[in-house]
Amino acid sequence: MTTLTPVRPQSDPAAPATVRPPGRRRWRGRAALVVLLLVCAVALLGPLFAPHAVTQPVDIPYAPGSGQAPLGTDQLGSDVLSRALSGGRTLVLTGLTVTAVVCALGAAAGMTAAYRKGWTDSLILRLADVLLGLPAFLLLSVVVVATGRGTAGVAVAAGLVLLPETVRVVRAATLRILGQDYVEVAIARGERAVSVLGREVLPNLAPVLAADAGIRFLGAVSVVATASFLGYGPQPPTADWGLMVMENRDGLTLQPLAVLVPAGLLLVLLLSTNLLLDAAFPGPSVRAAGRRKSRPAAEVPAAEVPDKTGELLTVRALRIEAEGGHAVLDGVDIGLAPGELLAVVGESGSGKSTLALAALGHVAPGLRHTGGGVRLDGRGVLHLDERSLRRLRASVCGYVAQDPRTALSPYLRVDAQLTEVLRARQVPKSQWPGRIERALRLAGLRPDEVVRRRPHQLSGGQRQRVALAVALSAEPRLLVLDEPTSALDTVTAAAFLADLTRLRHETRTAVLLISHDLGSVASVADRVAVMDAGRIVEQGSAEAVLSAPSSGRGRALAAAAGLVPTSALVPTPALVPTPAPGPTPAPGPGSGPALESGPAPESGLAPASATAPESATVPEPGPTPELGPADVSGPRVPLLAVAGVSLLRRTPVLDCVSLSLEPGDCLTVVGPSGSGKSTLLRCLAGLDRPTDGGVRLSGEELARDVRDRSARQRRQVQLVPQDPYGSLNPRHTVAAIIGRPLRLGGDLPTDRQQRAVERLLDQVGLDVELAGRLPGALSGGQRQRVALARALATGPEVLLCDEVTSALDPSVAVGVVELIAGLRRDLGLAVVMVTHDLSVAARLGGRVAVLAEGRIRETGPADRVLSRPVHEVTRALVAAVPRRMRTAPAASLRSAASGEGGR
Amino acid sequence: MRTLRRTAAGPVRRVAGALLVLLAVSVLVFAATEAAPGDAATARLGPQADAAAVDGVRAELGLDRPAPLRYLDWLGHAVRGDFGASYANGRPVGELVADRLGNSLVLGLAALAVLVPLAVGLGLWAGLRAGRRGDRLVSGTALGLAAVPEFVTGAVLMLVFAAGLGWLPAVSLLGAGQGPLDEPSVLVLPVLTLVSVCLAQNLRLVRAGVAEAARSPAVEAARLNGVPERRVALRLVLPAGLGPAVPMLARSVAYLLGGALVAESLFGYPGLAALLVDATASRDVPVVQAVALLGAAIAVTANLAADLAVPLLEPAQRHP
Repeated sequence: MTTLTPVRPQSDPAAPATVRPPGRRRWRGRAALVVLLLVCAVALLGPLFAPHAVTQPVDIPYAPGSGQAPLGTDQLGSDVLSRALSGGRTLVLTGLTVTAVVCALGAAAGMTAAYRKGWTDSLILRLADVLLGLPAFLLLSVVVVATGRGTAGVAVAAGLVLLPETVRVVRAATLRILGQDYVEVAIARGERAVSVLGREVLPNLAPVLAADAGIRFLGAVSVVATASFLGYGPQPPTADWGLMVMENRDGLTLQPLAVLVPAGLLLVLLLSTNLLLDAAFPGPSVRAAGRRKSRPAAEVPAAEVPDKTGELLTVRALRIEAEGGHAVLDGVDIGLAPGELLAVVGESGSGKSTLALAALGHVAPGLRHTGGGVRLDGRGVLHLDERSLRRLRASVCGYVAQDPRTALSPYLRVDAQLTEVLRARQVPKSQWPGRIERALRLAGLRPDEVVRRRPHQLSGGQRQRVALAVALSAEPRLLVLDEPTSALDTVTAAAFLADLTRLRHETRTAVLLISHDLGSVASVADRVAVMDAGRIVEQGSAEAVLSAPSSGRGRALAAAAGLVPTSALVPTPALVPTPAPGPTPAPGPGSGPALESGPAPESGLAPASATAPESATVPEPGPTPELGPADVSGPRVPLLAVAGVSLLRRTPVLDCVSLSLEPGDCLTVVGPSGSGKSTLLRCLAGLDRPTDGGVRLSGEELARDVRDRSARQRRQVQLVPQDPYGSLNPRHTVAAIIGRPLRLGGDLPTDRQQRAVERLLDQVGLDVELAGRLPGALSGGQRQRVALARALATGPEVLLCDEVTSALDPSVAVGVVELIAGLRRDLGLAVVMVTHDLSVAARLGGRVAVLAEGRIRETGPADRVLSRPVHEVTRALVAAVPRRMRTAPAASLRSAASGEGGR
Repeated sequence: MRTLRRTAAGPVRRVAGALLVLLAVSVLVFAATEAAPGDAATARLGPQADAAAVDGVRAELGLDRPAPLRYLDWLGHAVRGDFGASYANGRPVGELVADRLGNSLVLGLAALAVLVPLAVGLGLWAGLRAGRRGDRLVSGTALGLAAVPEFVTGAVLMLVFAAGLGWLPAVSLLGAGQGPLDEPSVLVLPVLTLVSVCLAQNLRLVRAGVAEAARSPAVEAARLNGVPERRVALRLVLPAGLGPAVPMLARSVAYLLGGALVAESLFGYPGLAALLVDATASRDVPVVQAVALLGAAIAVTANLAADLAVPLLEPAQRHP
């Protein structure tokens, strides 16, 4: 029966609160609670106040209300009021009992299934399937046949009906929580199962369980009442709300109250529970979708933008505010001439995406346009009505969203994605095939390979190109690209930017390019505007902004891109403006032919000429010359030795990887996405189990599964996960997060532990006042530092860092990398850093291993690998770094290495 | 290649899984009804028969054999449509069920024909307005209706439209030899009751999928590229609403076709429900077994169909 399933989406503990005014919600919740308590009081205490015995006839059947029976009588002449007062107690008590039992059993079974996985999981799920295989009231009937009619049988049946759904909800929620990095970290530091479930999972599961309990109570009351109605529960002459409806329905016309009163009481009970649930566990945030009919001109002061002759896009004194009046864009002025490429660069939250959308006449829900204006092709787009705005967009602009994973509709084939735009622009159907082909070619794709595919059959780079082709298909005069490369790996991103330059030459379209990475856009932009906190702080030619940034933000962005040396790495300015001696030219204007779409291993149908690693330089699998396996017979045993580690899934993920590390060593593992870097790190941490090969720590063999390693070994090897937003338990304070490994490690008195936490916070450059905060109140960089402090708390010898900078803004990332470099220096930690970002390798120094398709392709000292790459994969990676950036880090690296007395 | 292997192996495994679930349900049904007192022997001889006579008949019918053997025997007959004779009146259960099944199917299909367009249409409409007044009204109403047990909704409908306004018959009794299609007005109130119960879940799933898709970067990009709203809604947004709703719809189908017990009982509609409710009350085991297995078969089939349909509707989900 369908009413028993949760109607609202399960509330996600991490979901932000809804935008509906919380005050109104709270008020409604309170009202619902009061009503619910009243009905429950009537149900539970009602029998005490019943004026007549429930079986006592007081009048003729179906008599209307009188002094004797204020609500009239039922089909046997008994008092409806007395029966109604008496008829809810069993129902409510049974409902509560069933709910409690179902939630307890469901939570236990769901958590067990999710945690144990394997056959336990299958068994529990199959049992749930069997129970769900019988529609609820058929199951009810079968159980009642077995137990006979009565409350006990109905309660058992209701439990069986409700249990599978709870098991599934709890299991799904537990799986989601278990997938979080903070749980992996807990497992990796050796927490027992009880502790993982109790400390890490349960606090995050509590809101789900509470919401589920409410839904199950609704279901239990529904089933029990319906069973009574069907005659399965209490037998006449017992007073029961459900039964009363059934008994008296024949007299509906004579005495409607005999049906209406019990039905109404049930209705109020269930609706108030429902409202209370809705108020207490709001669903995921729903923002009112902003759709504008026509805007009264008076709303925004008509600061008309002068129609500068020649400019395609003009933004003047644009101000956009958030709901609280905080300015997201503040007095922004930019202009874009036909054919020009303007790059707007800034950190996340600086307002650059808002600017891109405003250029197209779109103001996101929750924001308000409060001043200035935008003219696109001579028309004030922020004042247009929906219809004209759409026509203008269709005829003038093309837009490419940030993330290729979500930028295309998953339901449409590539050609259909393009035809929607062509149709919108009213291109005659006969021209469609030609237009589609031309747009795909312009975007650097081979039309015959991709037109019939859906987005999930394409690689990330291909998808971004399809999105570009969609934007190009209408032959726009303005192309707006919102961070088009931030979700691509460096090689793919460089190829994408190179293609952008080429297509500009071919189409003469103007481009507004939004980016957080000054380094990568420098080579393609005509002009650069730097944004900071909603303002344009610097604007000028790409050359000028790059070489001599005038604003603080500009300098920070340039520094983060590696264009200006940073003090921590280089004692003297070492900006060498000569091109790098690398063998491949940097991508830039005139780099000629269409570049390959990104690596597309999953499609298996990428262009055959795509980066072909099977060249002569591929080293044989097995020991590589520079990073051979531990030489056991030698005088020294390496701290960490990895010998021939392989991991086979459908295809080899890791293929005979060997490396070794001494104390204080730093090894940076770089490689394109999908090369197996993170898997290698997880094998070292014992979170993924290699199918072959072994890892030794100070000569001792490390078990493949972290749970089989000794406590000391677990303390010695610490992992810092990639995503700072998933690696800290949102329900624990910073002090608890950092303190837990300390407490687990030994018998540290509480006061010493507090001091230790403060010392660790200080060590990672955080204010000790943050100790009492929850992770939700920290920035990404701060979170990553907390994750580092947690790793340091065990006093590790090997620190495994998994793409720790990839989720951070460049300038924040630089700080974190420098912190790791400092920790390595100060504490003598051996660091294995996995990254796709070569500038991280340059900053850290030490050695670099290049991983591609599961094999180490090249290893060596960082400055040698970065300046004179040998393997094709390395060359592609190095070539993807903007030209001017490569020289500086290489130089800085040398000086840093010599200054450090590096090996 | 991976796609090919999946699409080939998936359905086979799913069909096998569905058959296993059905088999397990049959064990459950048999085991539960074993617990009921009485069997075919006591039913034939009546409650006053002496123990020796009952034992004789048991031996004659093979009821003294161990339970697993009797289960296999029962299952063997059941798959051929032979569920034995009703304890209550001795008629073959197959006949009893067949009489009522047609009426139940007519009611269920009529409810589906109203439910599906309503759920999809309203879900799309509300999802595109997520968070605004129209959406809050539709979603709130649906949520409220879903919380109310069917017999209460039905009773209120009966009160208003039959007792109050007198537009429709309060009970849906049919004369001998009359089908529900001869007297379509008897279907209206049961259908309304059923739809009000099933609408909310389906509508909300469609709405949630639509609302999520409507906020997705892909849809925003299409709008910013000038694709008109109508095309956005039909081509980009609607498919996202159908995928998540299909499994729920399958459960509604199972519920509506597998015996809408409450609506049928309330309105006295001569479908399977009245048969089942009476049989349950009198512990007429063969009838309960037959109806339960039939309902389970419909439910499992509907779920299986949904499982097979979802990948077609949601290509991306199969390839994270």
